[in-house]
Amino acid sequence: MTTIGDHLYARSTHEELLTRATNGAFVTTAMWYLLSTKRVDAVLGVEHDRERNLTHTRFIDDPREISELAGTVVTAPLNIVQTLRKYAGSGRVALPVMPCEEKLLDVLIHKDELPVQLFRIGLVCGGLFSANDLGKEVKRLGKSLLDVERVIHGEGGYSVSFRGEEQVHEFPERKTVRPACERCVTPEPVTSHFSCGYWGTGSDRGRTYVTVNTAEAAELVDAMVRDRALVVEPVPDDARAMRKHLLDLKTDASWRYRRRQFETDLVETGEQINACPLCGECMKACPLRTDEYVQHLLEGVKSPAEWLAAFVLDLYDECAECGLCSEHCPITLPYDLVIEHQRELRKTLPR
Amino acid sequence: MSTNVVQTICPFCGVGCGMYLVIDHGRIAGAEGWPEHPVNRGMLCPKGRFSYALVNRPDRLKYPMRRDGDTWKQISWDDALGMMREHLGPLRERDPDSIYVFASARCTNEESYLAQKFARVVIGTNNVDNCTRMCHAPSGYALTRVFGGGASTNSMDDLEEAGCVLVWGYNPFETHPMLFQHVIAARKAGAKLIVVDPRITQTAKVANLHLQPIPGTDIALLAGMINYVIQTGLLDRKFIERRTEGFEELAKSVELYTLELTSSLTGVPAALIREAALAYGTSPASSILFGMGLTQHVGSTATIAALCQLAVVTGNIGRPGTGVNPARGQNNVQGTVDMGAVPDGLPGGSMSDTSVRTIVEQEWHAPLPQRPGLFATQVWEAAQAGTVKAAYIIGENPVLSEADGAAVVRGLEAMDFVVVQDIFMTETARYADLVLPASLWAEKDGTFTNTERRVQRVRKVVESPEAANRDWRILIDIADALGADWYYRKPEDIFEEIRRVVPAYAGITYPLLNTPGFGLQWPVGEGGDETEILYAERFATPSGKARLSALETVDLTSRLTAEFPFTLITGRLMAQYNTGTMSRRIDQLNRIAPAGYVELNRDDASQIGAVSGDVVRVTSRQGTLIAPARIGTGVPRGFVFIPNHYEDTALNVLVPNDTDPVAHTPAYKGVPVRIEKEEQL
Repeated sequence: MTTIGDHLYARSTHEELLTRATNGAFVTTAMWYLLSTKRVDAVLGVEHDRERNLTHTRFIDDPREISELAGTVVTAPLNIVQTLRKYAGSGRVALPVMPCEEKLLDVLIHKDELPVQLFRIGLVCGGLFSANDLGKEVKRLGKSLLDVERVIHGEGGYSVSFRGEEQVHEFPERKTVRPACERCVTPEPVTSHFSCGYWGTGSDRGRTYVTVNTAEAAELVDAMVRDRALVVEPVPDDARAMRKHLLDLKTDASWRYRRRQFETDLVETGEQINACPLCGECMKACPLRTDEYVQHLLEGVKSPAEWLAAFVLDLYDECAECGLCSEHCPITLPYDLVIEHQRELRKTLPR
Repeated sequence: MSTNVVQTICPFCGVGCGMYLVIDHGRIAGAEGWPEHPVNRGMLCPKGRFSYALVNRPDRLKYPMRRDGDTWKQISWDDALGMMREHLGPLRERDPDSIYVFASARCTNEESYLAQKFARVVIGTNNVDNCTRMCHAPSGYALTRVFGGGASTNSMDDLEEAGCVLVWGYNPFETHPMLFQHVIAARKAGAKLIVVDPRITQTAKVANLHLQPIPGTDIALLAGMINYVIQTGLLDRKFIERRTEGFEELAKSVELYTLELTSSLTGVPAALIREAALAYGTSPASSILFGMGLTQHVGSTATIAALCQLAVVTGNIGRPGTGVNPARGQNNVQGTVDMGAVPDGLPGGSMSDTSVRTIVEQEWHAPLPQRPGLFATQVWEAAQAGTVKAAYIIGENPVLSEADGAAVVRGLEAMDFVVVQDIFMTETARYADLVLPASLWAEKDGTFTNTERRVQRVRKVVESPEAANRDWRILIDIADALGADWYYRKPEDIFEEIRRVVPAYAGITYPLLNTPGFGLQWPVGEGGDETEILYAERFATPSGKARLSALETVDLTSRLTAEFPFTLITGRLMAQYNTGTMSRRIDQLNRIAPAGYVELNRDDASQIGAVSGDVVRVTSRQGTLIAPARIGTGVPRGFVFIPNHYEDTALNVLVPNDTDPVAHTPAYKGVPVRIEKEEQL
């Protein structure tokens, strides 16, 4: 019997999915199983079509098509929240979600603004650095990932220091999905049914590291095991320790990076804010807002300063720092950073 | 729910963003940015995002229609083709030059190619032109004069390698939001951004330097900058020696233009001119982007030639982050010119080039018409004089777009037979005798060529509504009705013929365009060897060297008078597009930019006693319009701005048909006007 809080190594028994997907193919197999057993009406997948050079989202209602998607569920620069809003219709949808998307979906579920019910399979996000790449670099130096004391993100790459060592090692940059990823401090999904991810521990080859977060998730694992779709085993203690270590390293690196950005980018924002064209593209890109709402909010706004104030007030409690606003801003003003900074400021104020 | 996607290219502007259309059970449900695409990197501007809404519009033209008094009568395609034969046939027998064909820069390369072939082979006239006449035609002539070829020299992608970006008469923030992202990226990477524009545009607001010359004095400003560059030795002497000819002539022609004289001619402070010339001349790589602010003047060809020469003498050409880049307006205006849909050109080159003529004549097995064709801006006068009797207008709306709108209407009314082929009932279609229902970009296969010479595939996603047909198919049917026997079965057949006559396209094939799918930048050699930067080794002139020459004199005297003391500037808004045939039919865009207006400076407005929302009358020598006033920060004193998208404020009635002597492009910018507050009843 699986229970909430279990850490499992899972391996699919679906041969085709296993060959096409990575590690234990848990995420794709779970989606395939949910669709086959009609627990959901459709699956929202991110398809990375190498032949056509295109990453896109797709709703699929035929379990046979899942195998085409297998292995392509990647961190994609796509706004799946808006995809859900625009194209989902009604019903129940299973989908893989990143931690940032999870935060956005939480807000919308709380406000009852989503037309569909979701079965969310959370994915651990690599974010600032890839544990996999870091693992390779560290191995090359003849050291273990557990020896890493700190990761610092810098210009054109990141540097790594080891416990009890003065020397700092420089590693080349890893491409993040969007600028906000570099300062994201929540690499792990928490409210989704599962939290799945490969964390470079080296011992989980051919298996997927899965954390069970809900009772429904535990029930699904048991059902899949009963139907011989999945094989599971508990994760050994050392692998659990490694995962925690890496999550801590990532969070620490992002915090540091974030503080530095407040100093540099915010100064630039202050200089640039007067060029804000009041087009509203920032908030129209926000997964939490609809075009109609933004149009309404824009009415009566006369100056960039007023718009900035309106933006910050409106999203203060909900912003998930995905950074889509600044990505879509024609002059790339980091609105999300301003909100974050306001939040930081409040923490320092006496209560 | 079950969705699928099809990759295509945005149908709006010349930037050519990659998009995919989301298909839900055979119906287009939305448009999304194509994340891997090098031009837009996954983002779309409002126009692109909502472009899909056009496909399902109920007011699309669905059947051929014939004028019947004041109403329209739905007819069959056979009857429509019969009418074409009946009217065009006899005119062709008497005088082929009495028929005029407007090719469309909205259509695919294949369709533009067929349109000009139809005019030249089936009708037998060089009377074919497209909307490049209204926008970037001067750029084509000027770039060809200096470099030997009329297209953007560099790519959007390499803007980020520039140390200085000079944006001249161009507001990419509104007109090309996705190209503007590359400018912003360049600025973030440390490039100096110089904007030359009388208006305080959004682009100017993020610039390091903003120069505001008196409209029409750009050539003097350029002469001053070139002279400063020569005097202070910011020249690339090696480059000038090795790769140019005629430098002495140029130097001599600008030597009088000291900073002081230039400043007094252009109204730009001498220190700013100096700083701009220094920034442009000292940066290791400087790039130039320019738009309608340069082309829509009398003397525009001479001015753009001067701009090219500034790039040449500083060696800013042929390398990443350099170049002279006209930012093309329409999605396929580059391609339509490449296809030779202009009266003085042919597919693959100029009409005057005998080797080009020979290749085309051999391919078509037909002699080419000898008499030169009329330019689009000359048609309306010719129609009133009775020499042009029929027009076949494909996807163009001259009633709203061409200078002196009243004369366009008089010209259309004077013609015996007007055919309009479009997707909606446009303002021009109302004057037609026959209206043919055409297809949107999502309903046909073909290729578009964007502003950086990138040839890209558009794909058929859905069927055309009812009897509407694809433009290439309609062109073939009309040609066949007039006795031709065209063999093309699909757009690829046409493209194969294009490859044989247009050398720049020779290496491009449909299979190469399909994978990896980002298109190819011409010229493309065998095996898909594309060219991101032109003139890296040699220029396309006969000698292989850039042709420098004395700057031409352009009349700089102010046209403002006591009667018409304001300068009118026209331009685009981000959420609308040209005459609005497409964009004004998208509700989401109308919510963002609902109606036309006249933007006034606060001081000027208070002088005439108007506040925002008051109705004002704008009068030029040519005509008059009334529109609500809007007090804005974008215009300096003495200027007014009117967006060019709206029928109610169709500003082309104000613009006289004064054209550039070389390119025949009308001077839409800088028209002297008078503003009065209209008393409300």
